Amino acid sequence: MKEREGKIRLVKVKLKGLKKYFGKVKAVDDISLEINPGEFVVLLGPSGCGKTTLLRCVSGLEVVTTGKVFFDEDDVTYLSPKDRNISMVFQNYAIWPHMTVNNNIGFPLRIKRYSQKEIEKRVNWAAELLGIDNLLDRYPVQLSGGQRQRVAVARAIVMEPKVLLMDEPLSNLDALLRVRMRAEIRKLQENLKVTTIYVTHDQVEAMTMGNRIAVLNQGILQQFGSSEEIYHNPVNTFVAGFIGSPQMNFIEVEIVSQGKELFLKTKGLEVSLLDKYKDKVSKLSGKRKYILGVRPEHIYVSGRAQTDKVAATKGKVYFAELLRSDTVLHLEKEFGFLVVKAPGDLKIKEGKEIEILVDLLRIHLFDKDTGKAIF
Amino acid sequence: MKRQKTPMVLKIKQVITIIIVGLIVIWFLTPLVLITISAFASPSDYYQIDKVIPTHFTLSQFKSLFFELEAWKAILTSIKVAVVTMLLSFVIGLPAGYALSRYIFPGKNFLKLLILATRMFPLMILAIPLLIIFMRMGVSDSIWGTSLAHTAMVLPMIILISSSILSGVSVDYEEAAMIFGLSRIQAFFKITLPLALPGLAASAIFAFIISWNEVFVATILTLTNRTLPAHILKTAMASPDYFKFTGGFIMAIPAMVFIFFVRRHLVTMWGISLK
Amino acid sequence: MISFSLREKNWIPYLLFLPVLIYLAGFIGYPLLKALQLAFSSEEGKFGLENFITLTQDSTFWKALKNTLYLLITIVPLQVILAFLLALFVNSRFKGYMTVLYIISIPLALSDVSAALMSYNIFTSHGFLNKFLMKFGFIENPIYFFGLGLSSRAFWVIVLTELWRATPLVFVILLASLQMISKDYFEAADVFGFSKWQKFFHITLPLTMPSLQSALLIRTLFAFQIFGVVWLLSGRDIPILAGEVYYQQAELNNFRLAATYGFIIALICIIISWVYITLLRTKHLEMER
Ligand SMILES: Nc1ncnc2c1ncn2[C@@H]1O[C@H](COP(=O)(O)OP(=O)(O)OP(=O)(O)O)[C@@H](O)[C@H]1O
Ligand SMILES: [Mg+2]
Repeated sequence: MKEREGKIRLVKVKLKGLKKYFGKVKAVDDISLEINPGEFVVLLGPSGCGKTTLLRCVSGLEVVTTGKVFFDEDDVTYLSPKDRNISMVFQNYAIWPHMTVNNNIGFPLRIKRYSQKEIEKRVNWAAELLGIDNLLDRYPVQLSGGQRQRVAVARAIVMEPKVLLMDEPLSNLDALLRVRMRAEIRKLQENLKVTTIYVTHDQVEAMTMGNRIAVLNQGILQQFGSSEEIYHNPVNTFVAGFIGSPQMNFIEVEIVSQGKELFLKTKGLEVSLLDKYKDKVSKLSGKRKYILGVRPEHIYVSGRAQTDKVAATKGKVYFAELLRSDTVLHLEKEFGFLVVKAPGDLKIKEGKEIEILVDLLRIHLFDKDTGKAIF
Repeated sequence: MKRQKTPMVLKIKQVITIIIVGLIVIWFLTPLVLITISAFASPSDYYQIDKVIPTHFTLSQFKSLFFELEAWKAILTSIKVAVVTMLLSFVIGLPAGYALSRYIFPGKNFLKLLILATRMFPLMILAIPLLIIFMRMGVSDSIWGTSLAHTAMVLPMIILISSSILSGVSVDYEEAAMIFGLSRIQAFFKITLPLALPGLAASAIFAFIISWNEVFVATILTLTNRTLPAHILKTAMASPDYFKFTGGFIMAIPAMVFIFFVRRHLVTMWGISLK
Repeated sequence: MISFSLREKNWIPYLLFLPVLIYLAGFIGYPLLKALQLAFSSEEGKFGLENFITLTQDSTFWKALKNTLYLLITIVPLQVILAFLLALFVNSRFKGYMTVLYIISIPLALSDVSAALMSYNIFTSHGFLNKFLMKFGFIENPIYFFGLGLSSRAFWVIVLTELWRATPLVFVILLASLQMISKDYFEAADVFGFSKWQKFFHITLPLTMPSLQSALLIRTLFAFQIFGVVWLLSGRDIPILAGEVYYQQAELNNFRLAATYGFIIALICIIISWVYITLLRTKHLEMER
């Protein structure tokens, strides 16, 4: 069970122009994705953005409106789920009420004609992994929500699917168990090397688990890339705002040129642009409105900066959230509030005016109307 | 590669569905259509052996049934009895249905079984003792006696069905209302009852129908104040065939109409109640 | 799950049940005891088994018992299978299934008197069937279904009528339980590679089993009370237990024997229910917390 037997080939999953409409609701709107064999991809997005729907299209439970789904070069768009050789953890578990935990996990294997011995071995292995080995003889009504969820996960992982689909499989577990399960699932996937699509709206989960992350909003794919790309180079304000906590600061600015220098300017803040950004900005029209984005962790309290490429400004502390590991400062500025993530050992009183430094290497600029990133 | 649905398969499926629907409709509707035809057919057509579908229609059977045999009186009695039964069984049965749907208490299963058990006896054998009781109460041969007997028959069904319908209204709504300051009773009348009303109305109609249909207890309990089925059993059965068909037709009308009104609730009503 | 979690005075449910209990005690319990007393009292009013002895020596009783059982084992299985097929079909939710549901449900509200008359309308010597067959030359003379010595023909007419009349009730019960099965369970089965048949045998059937069983039980119990249709179509040519109750009571005014028949029916019903309930248990429902 440790290592996947060589005979099962890893599959590439390709979605091409996938659309799924429910009447007027565009649950999935023209999504194209290519998932490499053995890759662990996370679908991330706010509630109702179409994650479950996309997963159901891949599984074949939902008939797509248009578009195609490929497993390797096979077009499986209209193949029924049972012929796709997949397994899935359902968001609402869907464990069968009339079967014991043991049967719930083992029954799909029986359908696939595994030997009794093999079934037992696998069920016990999965149950142990998920800490439900003492519940094997119970019926679903006798389980707690989190226990049911673990049964659903166990049922999915005992199979040897081509593609493993998981819809928020850890949402109902306590924090401790969740962290442990995250690691277990990741390790398991690495061992099995099964192509996996994992849905979550928890960005920590997404950042730590996925090889690549697909960020969705309102049925549209916003960005598909590694966690690093998504964090450092968000393609638009949605991705920039959705990833990272606390949220990125968005400040409406004007582009001002003084001689050879270019500045992003608003009342109370002036940020000069480094050379590498100048090319992109000089081509822009001055008439449009722009938004400067900077993450709270990329604004330093004076004296704590790691770099000298910074822009300094001052602000009055309106409110300080003491998280002990960090201190999140909300500063009052002319353009609104500026959020700064400072180290936890910082002792700052509310009402005090302090100097802060914006990291010039870590700023982002967006077009206000389209939301698209300029850099 | 296997496709999920090809147009050809879909078409065959559609044709098969239509054929099955056709068979169902024929099987279930034919007796109804035929008795309707017979109810209006003129007696001479009925006795003409080579006339499958009658060509002469008449209302004479209805007329003589209604006026000479005084069926109109029986119809009125039937309606009165059914309405009283409906109201009585609800007033008495609804609280019990509510208790079943909302509380877990020792003896609950026993009570449920007890209620079901009353359906195990042929209720006819109750008729004579009931007659004696009603004579003592002074309600023999009246709509009250028949209603009281019918209520006893209908009650178990009303309790189980109303409990199933009330179970369909989530306790959460009621609890939420209680959190926001309503008493248990207010919560029931303001939240649960309105939500359950369509289903409860449907089961009330069923109480009506059962009472309307019941023949044998009614036959034994009454002499002059006969309900329609009892009246038809006593008079039309001793009459020529074409009277029987007219009688059967009249008795079937409310059933068809009422089922039409409650068709949306049929499934909920019977669903959980029989668990 | 369905109960209030709040701690409350625990006499409330009993209070709510009180009116029902009083009513049923008065109008079913007491008359039932009276009937029971009748069944066990002799002509002079003494307690004894005299009535039962009279019955067992009467060949009509044994015929009635036999006929009732015959009707039961012919009708009930057919009815349940037919109803299950109908329920599966309607549950596939084709276009217009609501109309089909309505049509199937009509007999549900018909009295047995009406149903018997409809059947009589078709099968009597001047009925539609005979006229039709003669018109198109299939037969020369009408086929008689009712009358002395024709009880085996009448038997099948009764079976058909009962199938027509009472299948809808079973159908509705089964349809309700089919509709309560969450779609999720089938989707999970799809994903884990169940075939159509496997889905039927491992999801649909076990999850409808409780309803199937209660439908079976209810139909079996009601089969002992089948009476109206038989009485109207064949009179006493086909004696049955419930029919004898009516005959003894309404025609002969022999209340003691009527009560004895009733007592025997009740006894059989109690035994059958007990067997059903102890034999058929559904674990996943029972062990609910
Ligand atoms: N069967 C359906 N009929 C109509 N609309 C639907 C249906 N299923 C989903 N939707 C709509 O499609 C959109 C996407 O739903 P989906 O379930 O995919 O969201 P999600 O991203 O999984 O959300 P969550 O994180 O809350 O689970 C929602 O707006 C939802 O209301
Ligand atoms: Mg979802």
